[in-house]
Amino acid sequence: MSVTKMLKLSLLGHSGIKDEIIGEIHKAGIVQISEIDREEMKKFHNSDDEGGSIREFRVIDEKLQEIGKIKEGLDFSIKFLTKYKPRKKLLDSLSSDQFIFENDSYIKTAEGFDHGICEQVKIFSNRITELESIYSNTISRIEVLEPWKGLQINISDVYNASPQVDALFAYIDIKSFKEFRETVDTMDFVHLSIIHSEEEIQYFSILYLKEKSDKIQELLKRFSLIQMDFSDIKENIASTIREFESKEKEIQKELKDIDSELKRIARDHDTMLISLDYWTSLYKKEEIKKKFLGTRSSFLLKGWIRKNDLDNLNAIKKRFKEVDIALEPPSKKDEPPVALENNPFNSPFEVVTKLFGLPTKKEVDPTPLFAPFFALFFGICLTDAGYGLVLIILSLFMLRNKYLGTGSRNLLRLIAISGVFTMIVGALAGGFFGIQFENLPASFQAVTRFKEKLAVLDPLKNPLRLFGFAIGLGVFQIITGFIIKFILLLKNREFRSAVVEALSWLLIIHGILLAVLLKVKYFWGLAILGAGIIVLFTSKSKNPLARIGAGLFGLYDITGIFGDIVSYSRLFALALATGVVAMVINIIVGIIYGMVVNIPVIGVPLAVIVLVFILVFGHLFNIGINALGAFVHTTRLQFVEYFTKFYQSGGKEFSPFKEDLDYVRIKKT
Amino acid sequence: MTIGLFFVLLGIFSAVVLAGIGSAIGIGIAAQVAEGVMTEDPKNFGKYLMLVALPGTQGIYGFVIGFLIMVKLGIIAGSIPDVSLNQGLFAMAAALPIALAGLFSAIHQGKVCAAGIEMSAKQPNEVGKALVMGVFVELYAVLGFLISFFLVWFGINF
Repeated sequence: MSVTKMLKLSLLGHSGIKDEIIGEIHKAGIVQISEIDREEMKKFHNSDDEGGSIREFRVIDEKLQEIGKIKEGLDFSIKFLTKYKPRKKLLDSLSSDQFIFENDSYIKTAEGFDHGICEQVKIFSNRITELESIYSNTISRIEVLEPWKGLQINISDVYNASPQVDALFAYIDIKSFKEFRETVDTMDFVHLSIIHSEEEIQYFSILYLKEKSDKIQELLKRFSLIQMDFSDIKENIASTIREFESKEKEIQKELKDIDSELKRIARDHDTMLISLDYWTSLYKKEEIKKKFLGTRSSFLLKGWIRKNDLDNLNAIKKRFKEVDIALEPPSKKDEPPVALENNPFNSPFEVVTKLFGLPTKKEVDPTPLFAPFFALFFGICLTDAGYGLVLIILSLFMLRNKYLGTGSRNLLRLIAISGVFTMIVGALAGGFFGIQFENLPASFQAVTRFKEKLAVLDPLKNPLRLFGFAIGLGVFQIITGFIIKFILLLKNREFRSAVVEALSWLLIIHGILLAVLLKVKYFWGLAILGAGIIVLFTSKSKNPLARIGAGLFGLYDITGIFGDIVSYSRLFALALATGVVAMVINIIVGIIYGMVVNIPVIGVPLAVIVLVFILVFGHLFNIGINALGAFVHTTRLQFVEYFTKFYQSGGKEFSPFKEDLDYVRIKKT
Repeated sequence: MTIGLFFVLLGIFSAVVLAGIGSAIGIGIAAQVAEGVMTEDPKNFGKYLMLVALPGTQGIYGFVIGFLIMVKLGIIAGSIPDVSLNQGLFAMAAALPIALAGLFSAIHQGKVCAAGIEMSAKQPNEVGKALVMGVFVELYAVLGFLISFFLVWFGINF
């Protein structure tokens, strides 16, 4: 229905214009280039040319590597410099980076950027890691040495004092120190001196005769002393600490210098983003060549093109002499990529279709089939004419931004259309910013009376009516689903399935509905007929027991359909929640206004400010949370209750080879 | 205050607070995961926000039921009638469907949404599917809400 016709394209050209052709196709963005079959490639080449094509591949790979390296450098620098770049305002930082350029002018900016600077950034980054590790090392050395500061003498002097004497520096837990000291006092070959005492730990040195060193080892073990190693210290401890401290300062200074240097480089952060876009685009243009088939003097490109883009293709073709194009419709074997095409009312809803998945070539595009339901259900979930108005205004305002992607653009259009439905349903349900019309002053009586006449679906006046409306819509949508299934199965000439899987259910649903609503019992016959079809014909088995068993099991699906119908009650629940919360916001504002307005002098202006503030933010919050709920619940109803009847999806999206920039937005002049 | 009125207030309490606790826990679970994911990729904040907000509706449903009981009671209009014990117990029982369905469904919805956030961190284009999964859990809060609503709206007359 509204799946675009695709054509298979083969483009044969002279190698000399390969880059130009790629450039043009890339710019136009109308062709999806497909991989060429390697087997076909062998047929096409004679052995000599095959060597040429391998050579070609090597050239492409080398180029890709070169560009890839630049890209990687830029990518690293961009990520690394994020913390160094100038801070943005909070509001700006929420939106993503975008830079607007006219036509191709961004290329100049990108080419003008010296990506050599990325090497520099990499070096700085490595140096920072190195310095930080040295720094923490230095700090921990200072901490270890700190308690020994009181040791005034040169350490080397102590170690080399006399050939018979050796020295040892250690510390011990204060609890064991007393016992240790008593033990040492009994040894006449040991001299103990306390260097420093802390609450928990004693630091000391001992001098001892070298010949008794085994006794000392015993001592070390017995009291589990922790020995210090000062062998690398030349002078005294204090001067060593000073040395480390000056080193620490040096490191800090270097880090600071690097920091300010990086901050200077980071001012080009935006330019780097633009460059990254440029190089990524170059990379893609080079990479795509791998999909081409080529000889020394020609190349062949295969792909898909939308039928309506043919004019654009011919315009490109006219500019080149050495190009030939062949077009053919897809064969039975082909799975052409899927692009949707709908009228302006339906096309925004393609967003939702894509969320579920695109149709296969056997299926129809479900977009026009669910779009009206979607907008209506969304409206019921909000049921406030004022909220609908806000949604329309907000989305139209945001649509003025010309550089939005198609996805967001369609989403905003969808919200605008749903906003219109919200206004209509809101008027019928009597919701307008949750205002309680009966509490309005007498001068508004005309408005109130008008509203009362209009509001036939007011959920608080007559909840069952709106509830019934929601369920009724559900039944209607499910019936529509089965009818579509019926038609599609007929079209595919699957008559048995059409009767057993679709018509039978239609008979059952209609039979029950008519029998209950019109109170005519003959209609039960329709339902029984439908049930009979299911029981007897679901299975093709010859064994009557198995056949009827499977049939009865098939009939069990009635619970699923009942569940589907109940599921539509969510529309009523969401409508109610939105309406009541809107009302509560107004009541709260009224109470607060009453309290504030009585404050002398500043009362009235303050009350007005508070009133406006709470009203605006309260209702915006309510719109936000409920619009989200409305979107999600409505989407679910389409996917689970509706699509399951006739739509499976599984098509691949048409994704043409085109300019796909992350940060640069191009303004066409 | 009559003992009946006490039970009415207990009903309002259970609708608002139990469903609210459920939403708070559900959002809490999802938000923690979102923050974890954003340490790697802060760009998709908007997408995660939708999934984090989803378990918030149960609290709103509970609040609406609590509010409607207050409307029926007449507190909003400024007067409190005498409430018999039977009426009070009815009002409390009417609040329980949304209170309990809200409490548990919001917690489980939070878990589903948290998983959805993890999924969409790796597959940013599939966030819609994660949302639909979360909504599956919500149906049962909706059903509880509807039953509570009809009980309150048609069953309570002070």
